[in-house]
Amino acid sequence: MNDHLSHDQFAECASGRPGREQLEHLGQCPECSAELEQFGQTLSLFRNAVRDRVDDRVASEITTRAAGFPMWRWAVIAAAVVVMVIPYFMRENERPQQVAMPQISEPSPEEVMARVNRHLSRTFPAPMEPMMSLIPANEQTPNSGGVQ
Amino acid sequence: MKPSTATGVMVVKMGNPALEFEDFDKLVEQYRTRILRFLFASVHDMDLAETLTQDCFWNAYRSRKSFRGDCSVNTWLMRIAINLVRNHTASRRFQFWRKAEKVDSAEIHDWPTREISPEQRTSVNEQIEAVWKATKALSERQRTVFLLRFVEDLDISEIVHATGMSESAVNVHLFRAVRHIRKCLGKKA
Repeated sequence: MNDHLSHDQFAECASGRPGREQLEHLGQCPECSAELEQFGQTLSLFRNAVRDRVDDRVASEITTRAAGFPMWRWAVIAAAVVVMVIPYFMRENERPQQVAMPQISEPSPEEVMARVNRHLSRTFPAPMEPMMSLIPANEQTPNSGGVQ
Repeated sequence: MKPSTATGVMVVKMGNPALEFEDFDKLVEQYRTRILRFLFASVHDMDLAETLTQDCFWNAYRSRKSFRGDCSVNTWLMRIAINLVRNHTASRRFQFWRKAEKVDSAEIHDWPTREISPEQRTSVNEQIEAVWKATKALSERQRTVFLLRFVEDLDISEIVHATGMSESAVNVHLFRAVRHIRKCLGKKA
């Protein structure tokens, strides 16, 4: 008879269904007992490895989801702002620039007549005083003798 | 702290099992890791396991009204997951994944073993990889029973409920699985 547990006997013990003979042998044989314990530790390592692998995967998914959503949201907000702002600036550039022109106000007829009357009522013109033109320059003829 | 699903199995409220499904999102959150773990160890591919996990909860949602409450929600979800693995084992879809699996060997070489020395890490990785490869060679039923017993810590009666097999069949498959893995490990164990 073999001194140690056979493969089948060992498997019965490891699967949690040891017979009376196997239990007695395990109690007397430190080698088989140690081997069974080592086998159990190996299965435990395997179980922990699978659990860690999946836990890591789930944890990384949670992290990615937590970190990814705000970035995505901010990107959408930034894109919306750009879409709204760019047309405004483009419209501003396309609009023709208005040059500030000096406003020329036409004097009323009453004011013109008042100024003429004041001018004619003087006895004589002041020295070096330019002659006042009652007729606009574009209507003057070169051969005219002048108003005054 | 990482999420842990090792404890806190939802106990069935006998008489009104529909109460379990009032908040289905919470149920998914509670059991997703466990189902994903079993499926990953069964099909040896994380992406496929993710897909099957989604299928599992979708099937559970669709058939939630047929849940009679004669077992725990965990066992019921496991039963759905086991059926998905069986279907995919036989389907062409799984054939595609099995081919892709040969390329994606990172799944077995990237075990996160923490807080150990490099020498211990090498030894541990060898042992884990040996068991990983040994489970691949098991039949689908043997692997399912082995994973439910030694990874999910289900007792024999729960495995009977989850698999639909008789108790003696479960014991036989478990015995053969352990014997095969021990042979594959050889002196490494």
